[in-house]
Amino acid sequence: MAEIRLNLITHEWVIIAKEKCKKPEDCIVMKEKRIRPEFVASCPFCPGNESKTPGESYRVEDEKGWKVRVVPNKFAVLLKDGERTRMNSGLRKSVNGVGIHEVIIETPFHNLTTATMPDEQLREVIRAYKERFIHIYKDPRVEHVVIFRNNGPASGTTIEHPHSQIVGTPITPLQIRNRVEEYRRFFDDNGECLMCKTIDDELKEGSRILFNTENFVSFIPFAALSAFHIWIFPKRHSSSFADIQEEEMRDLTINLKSTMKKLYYGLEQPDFNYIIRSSKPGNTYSEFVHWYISVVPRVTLVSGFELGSGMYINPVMPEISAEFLRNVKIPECHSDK
Amino acid sequence: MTEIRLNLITRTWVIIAKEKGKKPEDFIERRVKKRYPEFLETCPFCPGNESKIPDEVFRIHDDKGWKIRVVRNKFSRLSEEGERKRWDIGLKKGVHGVGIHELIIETPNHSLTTATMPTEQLKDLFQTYKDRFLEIYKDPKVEYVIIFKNNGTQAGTSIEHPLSQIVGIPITPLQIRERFEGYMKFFDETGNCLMCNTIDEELNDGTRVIFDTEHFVSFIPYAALSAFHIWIFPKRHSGCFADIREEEIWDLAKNLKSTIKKLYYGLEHPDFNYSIRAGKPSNTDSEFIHWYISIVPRVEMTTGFELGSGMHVNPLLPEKSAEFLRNVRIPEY
Repeated sequence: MAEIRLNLITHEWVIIAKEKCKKPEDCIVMKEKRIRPEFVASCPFCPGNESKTPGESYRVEDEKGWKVRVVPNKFAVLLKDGERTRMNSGLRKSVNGVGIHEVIIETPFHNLTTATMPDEQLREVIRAYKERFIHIYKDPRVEHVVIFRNNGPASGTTIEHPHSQIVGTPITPLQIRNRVEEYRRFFDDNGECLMCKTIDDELKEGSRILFNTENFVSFIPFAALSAFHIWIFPKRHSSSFADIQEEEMRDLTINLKSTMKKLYYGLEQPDFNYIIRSSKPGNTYSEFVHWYISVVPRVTLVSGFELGSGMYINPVMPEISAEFLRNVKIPECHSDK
Repeated sequence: MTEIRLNLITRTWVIIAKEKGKKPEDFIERRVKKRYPEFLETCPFCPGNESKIPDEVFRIHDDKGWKIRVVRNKFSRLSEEGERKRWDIGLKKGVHGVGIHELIIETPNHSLTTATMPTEQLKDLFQTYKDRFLEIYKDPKVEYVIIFKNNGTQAGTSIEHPLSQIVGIPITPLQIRERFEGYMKFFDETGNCLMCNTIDEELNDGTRVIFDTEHFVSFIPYAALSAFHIWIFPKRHSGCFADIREEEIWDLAKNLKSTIKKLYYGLEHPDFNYSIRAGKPSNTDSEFIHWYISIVPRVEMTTGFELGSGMHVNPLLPEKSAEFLRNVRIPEY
């Protein structure tokens, strides 16, 4: 018998096909893996081409050159200049599209990805996220900031060079509003944070855990929305990513990288997105909001069923996916420079 | 200036990213089109292979044979046997995966699609949707029914033979709950149905309308969630699809076919989904629920931005997309 599980954090129902479920191995997308060079002369994000991406807003460098750069997105979906003005004519309501859209160039090396990046480098990327996140929220037009990474064509990008994006929007999306309201309701009903309680339950049960490090826990949610959907929760209750401490950044680097390595080797470099879901910096002390990272390998396509209902179908049991990933052997040659 | 538009019906914010400089023509599918034969011996949905899918629950036929078949989906994730049972262990809440999952084989002809099917065949298809929709709701395990079509690999199917699906699930999805609540609030605030109001405004404005037929209007929403996202609304207020009448089915078949033909010829056979968004039969007389059809051509990929925020990015101005589609010439055969 299949199960339909309720994801209490997103409040979405997920059909989990138990018997007819795919084996985790079936989710390996057989595509030809291209071996990429470290440097591509025509790539605007590769060293030497800095002039193609002017207006740098952040940089980490050492004596050998830059390590991380943050630049305005040339193809920004939002305009940097202008006032936030509302329009309201009958049923047509809108706001003009102002906001911030930046690209975080994660490394000078064209051929790295989260799983293969040196720890030190990944930590600098996370630090860049934090710095820009806090800075962008200072813009009075910005209401919500989303940090995300697209990796591979199925995740919506054709750019190979490792990069993340950060977008500050002049409105708060409905999804965020609804979820925060649910968290508040849970807190009022139970006197505790839903995410804190989830961490406790997951650690006790253990069957869906991937990595339990000092400050973070990565796991496949009980009602994972898609195959190998993963969450990484900070153990310390905090509603904003802006509040992450130095030692936590160090630990997040280890946890995120270990998790991504499992996907990289277990599913043969699947395309993926990850996203930081967080409240704004000023909201750090909310008792019921708890920031986290969501990792979505793009191994299946959504159909009219998902589009028409807002429900999800996960073809792999979360417990089986977690076990599969825990058992993935990471090759020794993995270059941790 | 870029606009961020609020879709009042889905309550989704959509960034209309026209600064990205994409034109409607940029979404034409340039890949090589496969030509499908009218009949494929190895296709389990083609005539002669009925024994491969014996579990038929419904059929329309004439003297030449069947025209539409409805069969149980062998690969359904939901099982028809068993009770709808809830469990609730701390934060782990769920329900047994019981329900109904049927496949609607739209035609015996392997090579057809919505745009190329005879209107009569589409009319029969919608009659079939209606019959199965009502039948499935009779099952006490079923709380909500979804009718949808996947066409092409980007739309989530690798099956070529024209199919629709109908699924009866034992719970009501959050998205449906939230939207109905939004419609109710709008009704309470204004005394009007949001969808009825939308039809009035769209017809007055005209810039986003594609086809205005007797009983239906197809248009690109003011805040279309993706490129060429289209809605078809019935003009007569009704909460439930199954309330559709004979003459309305005819008109819907014409409207839907004309609309999909615009996509078919204008964008060169894009993959697409459509789904019927409707209240339950018990919602038929609701003042604030109004059923409709949503068509989503799958011409783009969603990114981490959409996944992480629930917002959408539409690279095309809805008014421009509608104009482009209105100007698509349909070849006369």
